[in-house]
Amino acid sequence: MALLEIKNLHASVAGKEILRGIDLTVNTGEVHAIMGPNGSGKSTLAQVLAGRDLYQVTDGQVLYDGKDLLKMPPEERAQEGIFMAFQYPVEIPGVSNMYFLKAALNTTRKKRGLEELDAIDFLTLVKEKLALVEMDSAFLNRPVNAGFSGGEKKRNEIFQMAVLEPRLAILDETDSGLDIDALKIVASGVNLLRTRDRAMIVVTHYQRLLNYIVPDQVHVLANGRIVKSGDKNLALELDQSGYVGLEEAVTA
Amino acid sequence: MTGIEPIRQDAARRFAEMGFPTTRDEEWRFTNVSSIAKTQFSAAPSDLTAEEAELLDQHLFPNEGGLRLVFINGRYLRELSDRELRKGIRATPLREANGAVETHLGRYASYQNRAFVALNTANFEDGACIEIPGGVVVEEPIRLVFFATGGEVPVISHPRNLVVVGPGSQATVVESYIGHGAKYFTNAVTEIVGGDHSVVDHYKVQEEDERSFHVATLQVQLGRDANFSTHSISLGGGLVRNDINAVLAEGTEATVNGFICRPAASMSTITQ
Repeated sequence: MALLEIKNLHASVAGKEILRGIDLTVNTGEVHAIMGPNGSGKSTLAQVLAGRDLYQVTDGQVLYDGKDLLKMPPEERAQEGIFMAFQYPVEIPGVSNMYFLKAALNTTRKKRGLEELDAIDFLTLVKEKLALVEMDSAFLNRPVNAGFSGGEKKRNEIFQMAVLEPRLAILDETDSGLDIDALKIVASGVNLLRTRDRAMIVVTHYQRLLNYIVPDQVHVLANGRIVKSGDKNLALELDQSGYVGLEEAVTA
Repeated sequence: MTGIEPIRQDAARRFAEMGFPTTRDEEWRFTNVSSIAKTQFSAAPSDLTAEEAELLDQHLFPNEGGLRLVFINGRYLRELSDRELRKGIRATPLREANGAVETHLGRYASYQNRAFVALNTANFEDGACIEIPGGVVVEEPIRLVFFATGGEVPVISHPRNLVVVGPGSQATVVESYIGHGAKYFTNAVTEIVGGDHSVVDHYKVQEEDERSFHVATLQVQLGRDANFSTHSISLGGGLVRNDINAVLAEGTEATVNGFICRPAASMSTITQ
């Protein structure tokens, strides 16, 4: 079933067109990798899907579960089960990880018609999910991402994803800055969250991450368009040959 | 290394203009190097006495498959080095390296306002050149060992290292400085270039003789989303100074740690 349908999406920032006609369909249970050089529009695509207001959608349509995604404000997208792990996770001093997550989870549960979790049930859930990303429970009481190392922030993003159990998860360069051990932890966390009714979009610059999170489809973005799609082997090919040929093909 | 000859000459000229820093220079207010400036240093010998060879041997951990380059008084010692090439990694003494040296050496560690960098740039004899291509994870640490020996007269050496880690690659580099003997001066400069998304862990273990001078400059140039850490462990030396400078890019993470275990000595670490 198509969970996400992007049709001819155009988006710009400050009058400059970044996305120039993206077509992409993601079915439930699938993991799609979006690759491409810096400036190709990978992050813009992720941010447009998450609803960041910095970008103006100038043309096209995005259907999420058959609904018009672009009409929803970001919080509604989150409540509908869209999760975004940021390339540069924001720090929220003064708000503990635990409080932040409990509020986020209960809002989405309410939206789904489920009962809100009380503190005890929430703690049980959270402890189970912490193990997925090998995080210490001390993280729960620390302010969200404040003073976290880059690797801790990235693990925290995956932890949030595990708690919120989204239907569509968008991971924007979750591998950047991670050493190989942290990368394996993050990837195994993601893999444990792969289910038949969840879809994921993994944005990455390098093939490295895709050794651990094996995608169903790989799309290459260049100059705001998907210039090539294929299976996981496409990522390996790119790793060998780089993006140069693909970028040239578009500008020519 | 002929391509960098103009840089070396310029560095020599610049050092002649600047001279050694004094405590009137802001960055040297707490490190008095007049004892270095007053000492007449000679070139260091290349050979080891039996006693020194044994001491060095104690510091060379059994080799566990990683790359290792050993230098005696700043000169490369082939017999004790282990530089098996794989995954496209190049580990060579600077004198035998070519392209990377011309492209990178001296481009990051500016000598214009740093006397010891100028002195090193003008006078270094050798050092390590490590080149790691993109997308490679080097599991074992790359070890660079610098052994200094002091003789009857004070001697000086200028180890110079260049480490270039390609985009998306990961590597760990350990610099060890060990010394033995009377007065000597180690004036080291290491330049590290970490490409976009690279992960570089750097360790410097300094176990120089307690009568020695040790000045080391680390200059790091990082690409977008790179992750860099350096851990400096100072266990020896008489007068010790570590300068650590890093140039960051968007999304870069850099950690600088220092551990000093000789409160009696003059030891300082400056980061910028």
